[in-house]
Amino acid sequence: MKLSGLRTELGGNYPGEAAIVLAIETDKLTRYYNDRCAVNQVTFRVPEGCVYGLLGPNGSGKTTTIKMLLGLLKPTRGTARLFGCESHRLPPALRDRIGYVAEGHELYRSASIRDLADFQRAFFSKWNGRSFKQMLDHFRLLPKQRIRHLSNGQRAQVSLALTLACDPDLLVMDDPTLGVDPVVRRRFLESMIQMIHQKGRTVLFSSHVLADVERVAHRIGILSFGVLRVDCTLAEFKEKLRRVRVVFDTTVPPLLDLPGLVWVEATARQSILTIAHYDGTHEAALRRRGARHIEVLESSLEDLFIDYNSGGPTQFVSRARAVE
Amino acid sequence: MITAIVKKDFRAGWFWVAGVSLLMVAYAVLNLAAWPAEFTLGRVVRPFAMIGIVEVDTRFPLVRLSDGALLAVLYGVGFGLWQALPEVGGACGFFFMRPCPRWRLALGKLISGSAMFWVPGVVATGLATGWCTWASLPAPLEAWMVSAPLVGWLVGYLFYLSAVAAAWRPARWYGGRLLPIFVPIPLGYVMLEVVPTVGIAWVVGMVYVVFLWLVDVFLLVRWEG
Repeated sequence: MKLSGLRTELGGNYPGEAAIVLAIETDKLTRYYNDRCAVNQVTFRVPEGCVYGLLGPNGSGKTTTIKMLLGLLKPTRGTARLFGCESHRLPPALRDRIGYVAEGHELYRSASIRDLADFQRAFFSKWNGRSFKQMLDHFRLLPKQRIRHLSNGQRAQVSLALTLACDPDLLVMDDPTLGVDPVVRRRFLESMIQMIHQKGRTVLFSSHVLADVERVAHRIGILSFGVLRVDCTLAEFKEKLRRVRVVFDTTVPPLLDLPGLVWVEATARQSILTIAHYDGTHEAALRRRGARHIEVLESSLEDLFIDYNSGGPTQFVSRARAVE
Repeated sequence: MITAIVKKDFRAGWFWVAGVSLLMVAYAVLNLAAWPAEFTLGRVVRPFAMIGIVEVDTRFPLVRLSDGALLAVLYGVGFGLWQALPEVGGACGFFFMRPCPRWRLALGKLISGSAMFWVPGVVATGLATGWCTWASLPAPLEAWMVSAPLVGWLVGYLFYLSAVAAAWRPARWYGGRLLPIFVPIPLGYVMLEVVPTVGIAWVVGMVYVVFLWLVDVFLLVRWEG
């Protein structure tokens, strides 16, 4: 169950904060669709050279945030800046430094890959035809192939190749591996990692595949119902959020008042707790309630993310009562 | 950059131009070769049709081409939506992230669309004009005879620009989204049926064309989604 009332937002600082150059900076970024708030006062910063993974369940506001960052949507309130420039006023010279892989990889369906490459070349000053060809070879695609004849995964690859061949300083990808099979996803990710290793590149990407994020991201943000709940490094997130298995001698006692409790899974005598900022005080509190055995579990980002985002207030109340 | 958009659109939409050009040429040939088109018992080949009626209607082959307005309107609406919708639909991210001011993107789209729209009308009218210049008609060919059929195409062009506006305007409900397409109907009627001279029809039409260009560019510059 999610104990939203007890949850503390996780935030992390940047080492050497004064010296960092920011590629992305948002301040209380907010967007309403009519009276529905899709993104609510989102504030985060991505320094140059950082790989930032934006996570969140469906409808949490990831795509809206990304569109506001790129100037495709105007914020209702707040600001988004890319390389210090307000995103809905990005001059062409700055756009030349930004690559965008859109969700679903929608491209012109009747065009061939070669046509799209010609189209990109005409606009982007740093277009690299050789690198584009290499990427097509790597993905086993032919320039004459038409987009409408390609699978989802192949379109994702074309989309990535078209964007990377423009040699962007900032790459923004909206769920790039959505609907892509594991083999293609692996290749896609390898290309992304290669690209990231090139000096000075900044990447912001949203994803549902947490293993991918875990593999490449330096820093993560978790959006939930339009609110940025977490903004810290991956290591900090794992360190601050711990899954703990607790075995009691008798039935599981009430645990809802445990500080930093994010999630509880309870059976008759055993609980798995997800706790923010877990330390000795938690262990002492659990011992006082009759815990016989306490074990900190190895957790993947996926486990922690699911705990952090699962359920809602109703489930929380009903399951909390069940536990009590 | 504008050239790149024009090239892309021509590559993608050549079949529209080729298909409608063929239809228009067929229509022109039909008009040149047979009169009146309403004859149901076989069409009279023009040399025979001309016997006895040349005094009455020497301008017939060209003026009749303005009936092509219906085809032009259908072409304008269909082609306009086809050309403009992808840019604000699925491919919007790909299109708008170009390092280029939005007004230039809009101009590129309108220039390519306009060129592709006018090709069939101009080809058909050119063919008819060529024939009338070459054929020994008993009356001289005058400029208005050529521009009259193009008024029909101009009406279709208003529908093209309106369809682009419908595609690019922010709207969710599809019925409401398509409203701009119906706006040129009364104007088209006035241009084709009410105004006394071809010249006035052109002036009225061109004023509205300029207005629609501004509207279309404005809509694309302000587009978000």
